[in-house]
Amino acid sequence: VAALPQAEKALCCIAKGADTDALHALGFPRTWNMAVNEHWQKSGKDPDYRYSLANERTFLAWIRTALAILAGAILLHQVQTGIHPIRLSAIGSGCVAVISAAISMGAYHRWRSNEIAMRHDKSLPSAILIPFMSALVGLVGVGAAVVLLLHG
Amino acid sequence: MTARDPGLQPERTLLAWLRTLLAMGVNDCLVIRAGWMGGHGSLTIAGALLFTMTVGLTFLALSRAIQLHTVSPTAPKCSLMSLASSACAITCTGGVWALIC
Repeated sequence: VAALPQAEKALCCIAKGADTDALHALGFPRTWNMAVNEHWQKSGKDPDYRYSLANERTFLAWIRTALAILAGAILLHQVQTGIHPIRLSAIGSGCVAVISAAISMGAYHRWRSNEIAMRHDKSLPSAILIPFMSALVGLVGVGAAVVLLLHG
Repeated sequence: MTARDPGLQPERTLLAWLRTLLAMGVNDCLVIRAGWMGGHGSLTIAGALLFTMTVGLTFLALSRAIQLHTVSPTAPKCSLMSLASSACAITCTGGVWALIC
């Protein structure tokens, strides 16, 4: 019952397109700001454009990483010979390709969160993408090692 | 805040865009190749559509570069960024299709 006024306030914030600080003050986590506020690019103040451009390039680097992973998955599937069963490699490549789609969406979310943080002079949000990425590359490496050991 | 010399920032940003779009084009070609070699006509057409999308995005990136060089170096519009990440996700979908075929 005590949460009701808070929820009402939050709904008002969403309806008005208020900035994420107001939502954060109400206890919503930072990552909850996806699609909440359409006018966030006008809130706060313009950061030094060099930081904005660096943020844009970081976003593009994440997109490139996702595309490189996807290319690796497609190439693995096309050039693989003698990895049995073939279905297994198709499933593995498919999972990696789906993950690269997730990375591209995460890249946008991260760019947006960074931009909002910079507009409000806040510290940059922590990046869930980086440990996720490290784990993925590690898993692919282990998988490749297993395949090489079994079939090499 | 005093005016700053943008230096090579716009140029580096343009190059990052071009590298990204090149990677996307390579993936489109891989999808087309998978469709062509496997004899899947619909996959080939999907790859061609993906390539067209990448070319369209290249024009958007070029207009962004013109904005950076001539108008003012500011943050890109969120519509451009969401388009780019959606295009990447759509390319990934095409890639998954190529893997399933």
